[in-house]
Amino acid sequence: MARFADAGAAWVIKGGGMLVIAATMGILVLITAVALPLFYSAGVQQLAEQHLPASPAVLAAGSDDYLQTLYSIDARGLVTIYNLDGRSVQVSYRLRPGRGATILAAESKRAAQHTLVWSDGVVSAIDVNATPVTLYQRQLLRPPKFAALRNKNTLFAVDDDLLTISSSPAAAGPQEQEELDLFGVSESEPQQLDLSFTLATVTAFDVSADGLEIIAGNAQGEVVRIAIDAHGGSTVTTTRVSHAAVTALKYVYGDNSFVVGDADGQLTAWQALRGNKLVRFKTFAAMPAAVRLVSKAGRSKFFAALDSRGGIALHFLTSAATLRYIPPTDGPRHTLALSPRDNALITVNASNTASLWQIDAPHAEISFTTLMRRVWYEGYAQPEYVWQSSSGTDDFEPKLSLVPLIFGTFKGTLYAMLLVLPLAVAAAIYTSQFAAKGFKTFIKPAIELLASLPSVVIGFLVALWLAPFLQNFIVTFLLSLITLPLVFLMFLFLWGKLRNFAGVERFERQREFMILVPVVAVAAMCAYYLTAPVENYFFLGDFSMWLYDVVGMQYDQRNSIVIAFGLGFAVTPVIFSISEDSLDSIPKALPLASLALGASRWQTIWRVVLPSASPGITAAAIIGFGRAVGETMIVLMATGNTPIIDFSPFNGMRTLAANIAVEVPEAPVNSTLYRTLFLCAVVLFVLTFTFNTAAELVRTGLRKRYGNF
Amino acid sequence: MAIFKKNFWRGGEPWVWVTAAGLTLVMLLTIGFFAIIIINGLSALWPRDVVRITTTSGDVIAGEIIKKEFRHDKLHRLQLKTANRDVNGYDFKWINANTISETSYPPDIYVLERLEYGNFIGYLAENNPPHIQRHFVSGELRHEIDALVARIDAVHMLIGTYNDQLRAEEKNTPVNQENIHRYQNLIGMYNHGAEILEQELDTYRALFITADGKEKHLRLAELIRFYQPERMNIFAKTVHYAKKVEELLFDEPREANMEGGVFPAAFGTVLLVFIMSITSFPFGVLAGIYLGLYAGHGVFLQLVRVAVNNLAGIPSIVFGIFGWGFFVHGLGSSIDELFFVETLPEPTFGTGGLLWASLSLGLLTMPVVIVAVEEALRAIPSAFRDASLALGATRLQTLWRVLLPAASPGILTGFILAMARAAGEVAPLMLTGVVKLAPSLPLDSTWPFLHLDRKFMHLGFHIYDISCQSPNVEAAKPLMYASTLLLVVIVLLMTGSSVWMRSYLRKKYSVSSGF
Repeated sequence: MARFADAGAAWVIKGGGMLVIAATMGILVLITAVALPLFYSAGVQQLAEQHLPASPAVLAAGSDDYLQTLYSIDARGLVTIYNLDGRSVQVSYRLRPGRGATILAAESKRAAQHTLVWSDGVVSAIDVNATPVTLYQRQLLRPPKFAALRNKNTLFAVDDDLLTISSSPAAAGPQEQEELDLFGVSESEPQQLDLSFTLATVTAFDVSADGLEIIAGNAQGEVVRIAIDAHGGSTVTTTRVSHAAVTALKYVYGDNSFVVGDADGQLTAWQALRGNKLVRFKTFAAMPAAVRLVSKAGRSKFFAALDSRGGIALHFLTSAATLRYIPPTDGPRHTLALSPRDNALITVNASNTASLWQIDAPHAEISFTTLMRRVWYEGYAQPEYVWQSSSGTDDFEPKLSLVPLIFGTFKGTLYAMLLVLPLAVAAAIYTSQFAAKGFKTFIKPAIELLASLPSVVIGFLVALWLAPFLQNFIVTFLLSLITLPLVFLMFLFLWGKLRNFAGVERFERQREFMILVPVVAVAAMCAYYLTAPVENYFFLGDFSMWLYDVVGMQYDQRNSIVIAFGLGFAVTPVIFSISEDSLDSIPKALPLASLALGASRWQTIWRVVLPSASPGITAAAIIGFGRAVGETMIVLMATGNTPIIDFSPFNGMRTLAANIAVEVPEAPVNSTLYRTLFLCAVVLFVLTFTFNTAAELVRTGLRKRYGNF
Repeated sequence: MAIFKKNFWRGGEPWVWVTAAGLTLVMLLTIGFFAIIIINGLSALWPRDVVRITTTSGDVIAGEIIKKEFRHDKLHRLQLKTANRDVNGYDFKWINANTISETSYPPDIYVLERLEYGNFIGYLAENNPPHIQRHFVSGELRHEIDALVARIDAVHMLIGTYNDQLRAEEKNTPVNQENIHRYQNLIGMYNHGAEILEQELDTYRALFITADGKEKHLRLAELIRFYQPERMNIFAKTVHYAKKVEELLFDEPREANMEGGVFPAAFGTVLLVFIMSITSFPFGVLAGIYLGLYAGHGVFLQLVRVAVNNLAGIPSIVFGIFGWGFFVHGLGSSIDELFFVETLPEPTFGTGGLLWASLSLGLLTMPVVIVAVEEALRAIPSAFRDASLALGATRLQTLWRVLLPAASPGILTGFILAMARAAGEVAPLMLTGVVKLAPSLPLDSTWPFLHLDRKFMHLGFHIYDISCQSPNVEAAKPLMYASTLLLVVIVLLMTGSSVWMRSYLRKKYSVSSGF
């Protein structure tokens, strides 16, 4: 029985060991598993196929919100809605029956909404999922080449080289009434723009959703952009965008930029920067043949392009990535649409077969490029590293670059190490080699107490006491960086002379650090009294004003110096105690032999003890570094958490750890931001794992070298 | 050594002084750090003097001096806590030193602590009724007011019960109109009664006049305490201080956590640490025993060591996000789908709560326990183990009867260290269920008494929240410093006791290993 229990206990205890591995691995595996879907390539697969009955060419197709039905609009104006599961016709109706007119062109304003140009000059806008189907329509003298109805009552029509914008205050009624507004009847005079100066013949055309921006392209590869301002005036700019004819133009969701497709199959994205200058900011993978049309998504920065051979490419604007290219396996296709929820592509090929392709790309805006490289975002003058996860408007593209966060993490840590590493190591050397035994037995537990200080306490004190204090005394602090070494040197000269008197040397032994307290005080006083004259003479009376006006740096109250102190308090005990341990573990025979051979006590330390202890001190520095990298509360409380890339010690940063704490409340489960935060955690895990392992390796190296004494 | 006397510079002696300077600076910074915490924390609740300042433009301002700012050695400006937020619209004011024409410390000025709008500073008007005047000397109305408030509360409770019964009656079929009428009448009657009592309570009000002459009627029921700082001697101030400390420790927070006590936060911290301990320590002990006694020298041991080392080095926020992803959204949501279907989509365990926070913290502190257990076991002289095994005990018996009892003080030390670490950790909690204001404690008198799914308050988070997210940081500062000191004292007491215990044990065992 006892043996049985013994064996059982052995297994349970071994299980405890395993549990630790499982916990560590489990943490890494779970956070990686949550972050990993960010990098999955987009899945596009054919969900359904539907043969459309023989009819004249299908001009437009689409689906409903839930991918249950599919519809087509043919040239005679017949709208047919098919059930995808039952393969039956749900409903079929004819637009404008009995008129004998046919549809010449169909442009999609957004999913399930189309602007149709009829052969008798009528332009109508329809919403297939809504009843009544026809939202409004207008009668022109003759059918325009391109047309778009915007804002319910504004018609944009292009006829080769003449752009007509006509507004009427009254929106037309439902389909049954077929109320036609004749051109001259509308109350306001149509505004006409002759594009022939710049474009000759228009080959592509689009209007932004608010109707305030119009773009048109021509066969020479030029695009004219007309921006209408609040007072009705307009700015016209013409830009050469391609060497070949512009064959497709489409605003991307949000209307901040548009996609240009040309006859060579090139796809580029353009945006207007300040001064209405058009700039190309994205280039996408070229298509094998001329781009026929571009279809945009209604909720995100997706767009799909169709080439003249029937190939389809699905792109995402922010990452400029081609999510998927569908080759024209079932013959050339002639229409292309995205579903209302951006989750499917609908195509119709030459043999009138409609296909529904399901898109599974929940994190298309993330790629290695968008996370780690400069990305040219909409509204930016050049590619930049930006972290900006949310904003007030819907048409905003999340900017999720990890670079500012990683930069911030290392910036804070580096400033802290710069401040603390020399101090902590020096203190450890003194404590282990020169201090009295009694002092040592007191300092070790004291350091341990310091190490257990909650970081929220450090963060609080640093943010609410030190930050305002430092703002008042920044010049004093900077001056003390000069006065401290100077006063110290002067003291050493004096002390060197004083040492010639008997007894002084005996007095100083093991008391050096106490003797230095008044020296530090004197240096601080010097800095304090020098502050006013220095600030008046060099900094025009106010340091932060001077910094801003002359150097161009902003002085933030919660800045890197404050963080350096905060993180310093957190990591000093770590660095100190590990360095001290490694110095202590040097066999006593080494320094004693050195002293016996006539070396001075510093020569012994410098030449004998330090080289032996250096791996341990290095390990201490690495572990301290790792600790500072992962510290959350101090950074969260004592910086402004602005994700900027700037080395200036006078402003703050946002670190990976603080970023997680800041963004978590804003991140819905399984959203891109949610997974990106887990990715931040993975990066942190990997960073600290690397540091800890490196430190462990360095330490084992030390043990191997000096384990024999 | 004598031959080096003249070689102060050549022998590198200055470098020794450089290392000494390092220690001096570290020491001074540390001492300064603690001095700021202790001085601010201790003085935060001490009653301050109220100064009355007449400015050169004739304005009169009264308030407590919060901060004096010097520029180039001269008093530059003063920050006053003027209180009276509801009268002035502000409760802090900076005054430039060169605009002060007269300063005095009026003895008859009152500081009133109120339930709402922060403190009030002003004079008691002379035309108050005599019993009101006397109340501010002897506090004689305290009992009457308390009794009235208690009666009003009781009446409101009755109204609540009748309301519940009325609602239950309305759901019955057939509806008993008679009962409904009866309840409605009762509710109406008690409502009327409550109104009368409120009116009576309202008669207990005093007229106060601010330093700049504005009048303000204050209901005595809304005053928590009042004092005249200039009339208080050191003894009275100490009593006041003790009362404030009692309030801090045992009262609920008021006014968006900026006033009152931190009891729910301290209670949450203790409960969290307790649950963390019972869920995680057993596993830590097992792993520690494995490392200390059972492990061989194989790859598996190396793996466990790497795992422990790294577990100790993982940033705390990573434990938080792990808890958020795995416990809250993984386990919690599954539990909800299995056992709490009726309340969905309102989550029960699928949102942050005490249990998930405890488990996340448990993972975080596990390495502390493991290392402590391993070291405690290794510190036991091997003679103990050998003797036990030689007498025929099995490994388990040796462990249970000999080694664990001997190691138990060391293991306990590890427990306390882990608890201290857990008490101060905030980052993981922010993702797993801490809130700034919890409606109820996670431990109460309704079944199942301990509510592991409830959100909780925490002292560390309380400090973070009021110092970084409070609308009026300046007003919350005294409480912040006091709660910071409280947290520091809790953590340092725990750590200190474990450090002391360990050094005591080391001495004990260094003796016992000798024989």
